[in-house]
Amino acid sequence: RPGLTGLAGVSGLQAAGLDEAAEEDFRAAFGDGTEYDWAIDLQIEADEREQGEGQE
Amino acid sequence: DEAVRKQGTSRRRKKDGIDLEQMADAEIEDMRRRMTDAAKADNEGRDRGEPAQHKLKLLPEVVALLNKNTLKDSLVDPDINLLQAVRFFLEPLNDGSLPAYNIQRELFTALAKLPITKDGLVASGIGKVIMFYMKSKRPELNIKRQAERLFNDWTRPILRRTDDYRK
Repeated sequence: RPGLTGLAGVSGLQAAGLDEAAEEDFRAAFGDGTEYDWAIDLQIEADEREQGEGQE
Repeated sequence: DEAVRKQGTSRRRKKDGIDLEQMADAEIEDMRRRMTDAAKADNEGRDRGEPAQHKLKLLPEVVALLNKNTLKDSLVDPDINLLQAVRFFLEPLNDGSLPAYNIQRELFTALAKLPITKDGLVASGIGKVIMFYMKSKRPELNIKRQAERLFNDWTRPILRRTDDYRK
């Protein structure tokens, strides 16, 4: 999954020179980037199932 | 409760005894309820293998409301929290699938025109859904671009980078 790695990471934000308050605000507004990982996991499972069926 | 409600927001004052603002708020609250119900109905229907139609059916009314320029402040008001219902529309369904493409495209377009604040983001959680659209491989490229644009627009005031003070 390219594109997002480091984007939402707190360490990434610190590296970008953000103060603690801004980090907190960011997390309150956007979460930690994992809130919908359950859906992404389901999507990956569905893709894998589909691929498996296609090969048969 | 009311004191808190009035404090945190800069809302228009009522005029001539007819409280237009209250009427608008009631309209938005009603839509928020209908949107929440539609999202729930689609999820329940999906569990039974039915196509998700409730949100799609309501979408034209939702978009018409979101595009009402005169209501902008109320539309993003964290207390009314219509944005949370918009989040329910954009969220993946229980099986991980995305809502209909039209829902994604039209709501992202409408969101881009709204003056969304930090409080609105925190109350609604809509920023978390934006992150999901950036992260998932499922959305069309133009949708991912729209999500990235919203993310950039919405992070700018939060991250308080020096280039924000140019105004």
